[in-house]
Amino acid sequence: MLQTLQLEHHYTVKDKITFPDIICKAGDTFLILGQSGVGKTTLLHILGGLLRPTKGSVSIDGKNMYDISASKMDAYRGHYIGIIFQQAHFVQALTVKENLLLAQQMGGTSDKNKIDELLSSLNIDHKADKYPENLSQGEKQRAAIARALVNNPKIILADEPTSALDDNNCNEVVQLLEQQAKEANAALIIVTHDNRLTEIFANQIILQ
Amino acid sequence: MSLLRLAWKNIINNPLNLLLNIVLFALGVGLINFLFMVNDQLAEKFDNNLAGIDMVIGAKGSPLQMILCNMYHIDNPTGNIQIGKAKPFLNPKHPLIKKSVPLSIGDSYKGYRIVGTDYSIMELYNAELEQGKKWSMPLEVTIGSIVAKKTGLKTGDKFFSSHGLVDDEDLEHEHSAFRVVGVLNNTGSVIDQLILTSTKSVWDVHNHDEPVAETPATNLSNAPPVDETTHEHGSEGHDHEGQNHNDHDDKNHEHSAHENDAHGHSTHDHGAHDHAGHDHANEEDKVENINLLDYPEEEITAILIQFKNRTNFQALNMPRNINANTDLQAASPAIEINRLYDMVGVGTRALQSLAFLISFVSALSIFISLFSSLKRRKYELALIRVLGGSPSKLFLLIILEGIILAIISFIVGILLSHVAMWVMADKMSEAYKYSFNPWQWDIKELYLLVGALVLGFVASIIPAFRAYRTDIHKTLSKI
Repeated sequence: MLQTLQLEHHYTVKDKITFPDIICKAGDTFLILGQSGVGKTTLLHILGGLLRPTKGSVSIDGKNMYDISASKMDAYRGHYIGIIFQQAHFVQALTVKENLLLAQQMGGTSDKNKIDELLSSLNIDHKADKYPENLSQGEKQRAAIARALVNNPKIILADEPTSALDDNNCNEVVQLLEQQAKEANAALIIVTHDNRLTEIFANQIILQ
Repeated sequence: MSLLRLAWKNIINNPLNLLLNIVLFALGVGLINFLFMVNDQLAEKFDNNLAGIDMVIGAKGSPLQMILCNMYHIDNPTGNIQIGKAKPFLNPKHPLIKKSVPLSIGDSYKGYRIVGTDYSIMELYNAELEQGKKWSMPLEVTIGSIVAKKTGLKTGDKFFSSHGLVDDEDLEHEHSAFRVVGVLNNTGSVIDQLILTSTKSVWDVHNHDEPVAETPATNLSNAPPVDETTHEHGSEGHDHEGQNHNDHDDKNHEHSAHENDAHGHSTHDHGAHDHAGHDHANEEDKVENINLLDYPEEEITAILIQFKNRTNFQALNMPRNINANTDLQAASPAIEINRLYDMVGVGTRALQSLAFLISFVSALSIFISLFSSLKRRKYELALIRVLGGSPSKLFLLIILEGIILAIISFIVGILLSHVAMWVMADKMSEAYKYSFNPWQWDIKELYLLVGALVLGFVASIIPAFRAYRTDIHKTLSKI
């Protein structure tokens, strides 16, 4: 379960963003909506342990993530949080499967069956040994989802996962995301300004 | 997917860059190691061939040339010396001299020098017979191991020598064939490349065309008293020589004439004769029984000398005295070889500087390619952080990439240097009369490895530090 309390982030003294509190239970999906520039990515980075907030707390299963020392934060993030970016970044020198292996190694797990399972359930097992540059946008996004799930995370964060996709791919990716999050019993947070998603998920807040 | 594997994958993902880095770095390492090898093996050769020789006496000219000619068999002789003038130094009773080895150089076979000398040269270079026997009759030769290997000559074979030290069939002495009677073992010294025969055989081949001029007795004013007598005896014996030397086919006659001479005139020479011939006391016609001192107006090229005590004051001064007071030239190998090192050293140092410059440029090239790859890979690096990689892992990743490059380049460079040595070994062996071993590995290569690792580390440390400081939030927000 993910819970935030009175989050604030100050880029400068004047440039101050405050965020509404969020509660998202394991297996649930939560939508964060808002136009560009209102701090969606900032919030996502705070939730993902990539950016320390100026004020407030982010708790996973009742434990404040930012109580963890900076040196242990990377390992914590790798193990408990899966993040899917708007642009699917991969290590270009590695195949899809090797990218997932890297994610496991960095996250401190090792389970090759899990990788095969994920790739086949996301229907990209035939691309396992291909390099990322040879994948289509939709395939890349699915591979990114697989990577986010590879360590059985407690939280899955998705940043505009559908913005680069057409309607068909959009539906498919969103369904896969939701389904995989439920199976992993993880809280799924989607940050988006994609109106196609607002009709699907009930839990949502809009950033102003 | 370990960090090492990731680093490896990253490197081979950019083959052109990889190629450039490796070629540059390997060139630097290879050139340095090649120079090391040539230097070391040349130094080893020079040391091996020093053979405890303290002084070389030959004709006036360049002392370095004389050393190179007579000890390393690289250069041409400075000329010949008359035995009569060098008598004291061939006298086995000389108080300061432990061993003196006469050399007569001038002919060759397929580029390998035929050296007229006596058996003492084998002791000098610790050579032993591999097969057959030592030369004992006129025109018999015993050949060095490399001569045997390269020319295919074996015991029982006959060959015509050619006049001069280069291989030229037009200059063959077709009237007298040498006969191989033995092959020496491999000593790693210059004797491996020589064809040994008696001084007499060399004279015999030459005296067909060259009449020997009579030479007036020389006044060796600075020679020790014991030598004076020998010298005088030499000039007395001169007449016998003159009668005999055109008559060289009749060895028995010539030899017995000298024996009489020796017995008749000097107990000292008698002793010398006995010493030289004592292995073959009953076989009077053998060339080893000949005492060079009985041929004062014949010529030899040089004498290699070992002192009894090389720190003896008189011994130390001997070369200077000889140079100042006689028509002969004496030189100390150690001094001349040091002079040679100094001269050659300039070229070697220039090449070494070039090699280090190439290494520096290659380090720069690794630095630049790693640094520019950071720009290309900034999302990848941020991604690795997102996936749980710590900043120090990114640091290590980049360092590993630099070090892997260095290791590959090192291996390629070392192989390159050995292959280059292998390709050039034959040519250099001809030029330097020394067989280079292209597959000789050296501890210096380990030092080079350490150097290469340090270079790889230094080249990657700034890019690695930059990777270490990757700000994930800023990098990922820029999309």
